[in-house]
Amino acid sequence: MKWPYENAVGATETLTSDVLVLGGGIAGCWAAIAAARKGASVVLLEKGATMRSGSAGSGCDHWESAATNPGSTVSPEELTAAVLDDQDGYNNGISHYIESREGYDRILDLERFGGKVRDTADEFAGARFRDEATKFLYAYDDRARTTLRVWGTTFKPALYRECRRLGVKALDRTAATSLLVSEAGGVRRGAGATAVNARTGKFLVCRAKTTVLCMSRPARIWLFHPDLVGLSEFRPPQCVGNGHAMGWRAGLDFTMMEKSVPAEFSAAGRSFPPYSTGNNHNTWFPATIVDADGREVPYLDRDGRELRTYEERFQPAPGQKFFLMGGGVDAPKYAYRGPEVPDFGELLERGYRPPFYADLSRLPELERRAIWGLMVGQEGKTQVPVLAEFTGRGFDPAKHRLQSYGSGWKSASFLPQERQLFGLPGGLLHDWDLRTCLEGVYAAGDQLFASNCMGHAAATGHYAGRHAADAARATDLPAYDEAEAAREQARVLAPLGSDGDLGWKELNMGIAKAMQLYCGDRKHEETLRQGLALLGEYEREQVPQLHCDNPHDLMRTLETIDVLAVSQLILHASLARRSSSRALCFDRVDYPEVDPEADRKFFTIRREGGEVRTGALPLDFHGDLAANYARHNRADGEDAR
Amino acid sequence: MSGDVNRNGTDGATNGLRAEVVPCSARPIRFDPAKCNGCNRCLEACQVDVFLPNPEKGSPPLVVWPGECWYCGSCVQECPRPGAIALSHPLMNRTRFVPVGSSDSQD
Repeated sequence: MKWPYENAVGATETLTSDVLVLGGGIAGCWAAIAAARKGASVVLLEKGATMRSGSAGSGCDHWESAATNPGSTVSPEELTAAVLDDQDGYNNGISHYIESREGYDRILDLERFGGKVRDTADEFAGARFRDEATKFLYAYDDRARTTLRVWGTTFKPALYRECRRLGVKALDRTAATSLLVSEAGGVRRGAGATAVNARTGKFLVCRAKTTVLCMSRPARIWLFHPDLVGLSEFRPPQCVGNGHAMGWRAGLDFTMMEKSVPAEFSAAGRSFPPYSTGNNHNTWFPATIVDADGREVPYLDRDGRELRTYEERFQPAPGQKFFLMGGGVDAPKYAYRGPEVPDFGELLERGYRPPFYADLSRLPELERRAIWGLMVGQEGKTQVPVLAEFTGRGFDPAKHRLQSYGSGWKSASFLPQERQLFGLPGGLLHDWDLRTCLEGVYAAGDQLFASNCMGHAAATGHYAGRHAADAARATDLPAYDEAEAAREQARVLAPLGSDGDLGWKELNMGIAKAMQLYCGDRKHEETLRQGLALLGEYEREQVPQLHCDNPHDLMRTLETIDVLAVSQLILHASLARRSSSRALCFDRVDYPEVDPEADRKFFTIRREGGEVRTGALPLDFHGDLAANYARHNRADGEDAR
Repeated sequence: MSGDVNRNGTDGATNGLRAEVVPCSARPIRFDPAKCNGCNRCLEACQVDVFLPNPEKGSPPLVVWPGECWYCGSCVQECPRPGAIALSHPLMNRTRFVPVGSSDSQD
């Protein structure tokens, strides 16, 4: 069929702005809004459609770590200390402190933009989890009250409207491909980025005083399904870590890239779609679980004490101030462990009969409606394919129980070599301004190391955007290397004109198999090096053979080249850590010692002139959280609001 | 902000762009042609860009890349005509449910 869009392959457009934002998800929209509020001219590049792009495009049910909301009894300092300690220090103190400190300001932002964050219609009047004065609905720990239940399906359209109202020039269907770097006077600094339009093929040179990277965490590394591409991973299929690849090529510092976790979601095969099965985690916390005979499974506190009432599922254990639960928390330490049901394997040993189910009919009505209707409904990918679809098939949560296919929130067992960047993965290293090691280049959301959820993306997006705007005010538009941009244009457009016959899916399959074989659950120097050799061969011999027929497939092809770059980064980072680590889920067969004191640090990694450079930073490089925050932000807090 | 377009390259004659529907084992998105008026709002809301506009104006968009669908439902959320689009997961992803009070006991 004839291509229905304009053919602008070969055309170049140059744009100039004070601040350039790459990625139009939650972090990118807020970065653009914060910069525009400060008077900066802003260009935002989004590969999809800003109105619904990103992992939270179609919704979000929880807003975590809003420690400054009026109901919270936990301070930002306490909460950040807990999430750091829970990960043995392998977590991002700076970004999670920003999240805890400013998340609530972003909730109030959203309300001003027209998003829904309170029970204004009084649907849950009188509910245990509702504050009658503010009409906020809370989740998880009823005493801590740091996590809010929200109407996330309203968020992205509201953010998009606000971007437009503030004059942000949001370019949809525009995939960033590389960072422009200026080297004037021996000083390297960011000068903007290049991009390609995924419908027309037009090449863009976007010059800017400062740039904010707000793209996704990497994906399609170990898990790839060529038939059901969109279900390969938890996040959208086009979210593959383009920003990580661009940063790697531009010589930015990364950390924690050796971390990956056993796969949890791939609805293209092993698992079910997130939140669509009976379970008792996250969106479904704390649903009642029953066995095949309808026998109820007990909830236990961290000491194994059986909880007698439903309300106790929201209470910390005796002697515990608060418990941690939510997106970045899979198996918390004893200090932070909340109410939980025993593992299904243990239940079978105790005489329960499979299969297990979530049975919401046994919950008080408002609690049932909060899970099925509010949480399942407002969470991403649940309103249409779960709530509406299951209702259409006759499911009634007061009359039916929904099958569970695994303990916790997992709905499948994966092979050990099938891994995922999930739950606080690696990313860009940054300072207290959320600036990367390259002058003029900032980062937010999933682009940062140890990122997790919506509140984190929102808070760090706003923070990075305003610091980038401040820096832009103090600088002139940097020159960029035109020859470099021309080389990038040739690289980007090559697959459209190539004589080769390799499709991107075949390459992605090759990478995923290589990563499972050479960088699976048990890593070894020799196999990691073999993996690098194979991927290097793919880069030299296969990438030039890539071919596609239109700008859409070009976008997928470029994504796959970036998946290849990120896979190489992961292999290099895995070679750099010569010990094993619990918190990093990192098992080196040739260095089995777990978390030796000498290696309890962040290893950093970057590419410089074709060479890989590694370094190290202490786990507490963030320093005193409150003091450093004060040093890098206005004392009156006006910037954050 | 400023912008300028410099057309220095080739045109459609040497870059004949084309696309075909990519076969897929699943059918994530189905249109009801009686209800859909071809407004293409779903197409503009789709972050994955699985659609192409129908050459026939007023007809439902073409699902050219069904395998790339993320099943987020944004297309349905943005559709002004209820029932014009249906989104459903492949058969293997349909969770089983049973009436409360029933037992799986086979005896």
